[in-house]
Amino acid sequence: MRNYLIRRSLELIPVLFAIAFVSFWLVSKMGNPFAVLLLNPHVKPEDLQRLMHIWHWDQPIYVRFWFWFKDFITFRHGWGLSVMAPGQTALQLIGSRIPVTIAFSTTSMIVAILLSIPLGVYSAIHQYSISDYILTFFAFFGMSMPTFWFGIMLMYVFSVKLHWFPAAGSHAAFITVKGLPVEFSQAPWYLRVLNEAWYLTLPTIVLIVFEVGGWLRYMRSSMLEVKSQDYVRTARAKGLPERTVIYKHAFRNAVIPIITLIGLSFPGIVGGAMITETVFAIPGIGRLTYQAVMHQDIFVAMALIMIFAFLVVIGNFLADIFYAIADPRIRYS
Amino acid sequence: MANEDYVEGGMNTSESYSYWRKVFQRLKKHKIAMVSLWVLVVIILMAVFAKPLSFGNNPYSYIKSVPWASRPELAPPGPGHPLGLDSMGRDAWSRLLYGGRVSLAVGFICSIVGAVVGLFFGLISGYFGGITDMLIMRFTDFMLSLPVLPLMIVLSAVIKGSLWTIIFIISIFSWMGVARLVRGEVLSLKEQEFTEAARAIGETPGRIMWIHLLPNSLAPVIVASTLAISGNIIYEATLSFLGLGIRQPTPSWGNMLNGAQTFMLTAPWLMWWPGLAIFVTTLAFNFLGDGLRDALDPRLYR
Repeated sequence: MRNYLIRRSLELIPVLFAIAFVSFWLVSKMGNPFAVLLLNPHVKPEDLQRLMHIWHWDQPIYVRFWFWFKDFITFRHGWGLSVMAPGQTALQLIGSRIPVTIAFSTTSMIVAILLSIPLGVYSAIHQYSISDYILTFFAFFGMSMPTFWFGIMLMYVFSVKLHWFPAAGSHAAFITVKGLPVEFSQAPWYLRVLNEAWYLTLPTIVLIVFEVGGWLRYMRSSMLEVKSQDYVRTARAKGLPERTVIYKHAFRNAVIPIITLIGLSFPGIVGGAMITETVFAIPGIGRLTYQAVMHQDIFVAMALIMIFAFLVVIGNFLADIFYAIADPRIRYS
Repeated sequence: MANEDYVEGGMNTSESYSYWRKVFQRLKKHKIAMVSLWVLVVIILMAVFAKPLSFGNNPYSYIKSVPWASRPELAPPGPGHPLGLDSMGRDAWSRLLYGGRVSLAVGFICSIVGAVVGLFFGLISGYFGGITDMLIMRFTDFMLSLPVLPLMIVLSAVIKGSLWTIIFIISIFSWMGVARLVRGEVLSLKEQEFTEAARAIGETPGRIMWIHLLPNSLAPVIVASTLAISGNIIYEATLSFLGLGIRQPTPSWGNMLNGAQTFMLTAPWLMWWPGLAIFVTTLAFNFLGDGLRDALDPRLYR
C-alpha cells in the first residue's frame, strides 16, 4: 500500500508539469502582458524593454516557461505581477480572493454529499415509487440546468422580485450593529459570517443543485446494481433484518463508486464555481480567472489555472487512493 | 416483458436487424425517452424551418420602430414579435430559432467528433495493448486531469470564435470518456472466439477492428454520445454567455443571454426563453440517453 501511494504521488509530478507547460504556451498566445503598460504616457518603450528583460519576456517560450516554473514552485516573486491590479502580485491577488471561493464551494460540496447519498439510497430502495420519480426528475433537473441561467433565474426571483437575498457580491459594505451602520471589516466576526452566509446563499444553492444531480443519479444506479447482487440475496436468505441487509451489506459496497465520482467531478465543480461567481459578481478566484483572461493578465491566469489543475489532479488522485483502500479486491501492483 | 421481446426478435433471421429492432422496441416502452425524442424532433424542426417560422423577421436586422413601444430597443412582446426585441432592436423570436441551429449544430458535431476520435483511440489502445495502450491511456488521463472550463476560456480568447473554432475547442475535450469506454469493451471482445477466428483466417488488424470490434462496441458509445450532446450544448452556451463563444451578430442561445442579465430589470422576458430552450433541449437529450442506456443494455432492463 505504501509503495502504491508513493508511486501514485510521483506520477502526479509529470502530469502537473505537462499541464503547466501546455497552459503556459496557450496563455502566452493571448498576447504580451506588458504591452498594456505603453498606454501609460510615462512609460517609455525602453522601460518596457527593461521590464520585459527582467521577466525574461524577450526570451523563447521554453526559457520563459522555465523561469516562471521555478518562481511558481518556490513561491518566489509573488508568482509574477498582475496587469489588471497594478502594484499587486498574482499571489497577493489570489490570496485575497481565495477564502470566499473556498467557503462557498466546500459548503456546497458538503451539503451536496449529505443530500445526494441518502436520497440516492432512498430512491433505489423505493424504486418506481412516486418519491423515486420525483427524485429522478430532480436529478435530471440538476444535470440539465445550465448553471449560469439557473443563477440568473434565482437572482431574478429571490433578489429582484422577492428581495430575500442580495443580488451580487460576497458581503455588504456596511453592517448594522446596535442600530448603527458599521464598516464591514469593523463589525464583530459573527455578524460578518452571518452577512457573508446571507450573500452566498443563492450561489451555494446553484452549486448544490448542479452537484446533487449527477451524484444522486449515480448513487441510485450504484445501489440498484448492488441490490441485485448474490451476496445481498444471501444476506436476506440468512434471515437478516432488512435494515442490516441494506445498510451493512448493500450500502457499504454501493457507496464506494460515489466517493470516486466525487473525486472525479472536481473539474465540473471548478467550472461551476467559476460561472456562479461570474453571475453573482462574487470576488473569488473563479471570477478572477475570467477577468484575468479578459485582461490578458498572464501571470494571474497561469497561477489560477495551476491551482485548478492541482485541485483536479488531487481529486483524481484521492479517488484512486480511496478506491484502493475501500475495495480490497484492487491490487496495487 | 423481456421474454416477449426475445420471442419477437427471434423470429427474424438477420441477427443485427433483430438486435436494433429490439432496442427500438425497448426504447418505445420508455415513456419519458419517447416524449423527449418527440420534443427534440420539434426543436430540431423549429431550427431547420427557422426562416418560415420567424414571421418574415430577420435575426440580424434592426427593426426601425414598433407601434407599442417608444423605442425598438428592448421593446416588450407584441404582434409579429412574440418574444419582443433585444437590446439592439432585433427580433428575439427569430434569433431564438436561428440560435437553435447554432446550439444544436455545436451539440451534434462535437459529440460526433468526440465519438469518432474516442472510437479511434479506444480501438487502437485496446486492440494493440502494450506501449501503444500505455501512451494513449496516459494521454487520456492527462486530458481528464485538465481544468476544462478555464482552459476553454483561454482557448477561445486565443483563437477568436467563429462557429467552427467553438466546435473545435469543445471537441478537444469531448473524446476521453468514449476512448475509455471503447478500450474497456475491446479488451473483453478481443478475447472472444469470433475475434480469434478472424485473426486465424488472416484478417488484418484494421479489418478486425472495423468489421468486428467497432460494431460490437458501439452500444455504450451511442449512449455516451447522446448524453454528451447536452454537455456540449451547455459548454457552448456557457462560453457564449461569457462573451467568448459565438460572437455577435450570429445568434446562439448562449449569447442571447449574454446581455440579458444587464436588462434583468427593464426587459426580463429576454432571459426566459433562450435559457428555457437550453434547459429543455439538454433535459431531453439526458432523458433520451438514459432511455437508450436501458434499451441497449438488457441487463439493466427491468
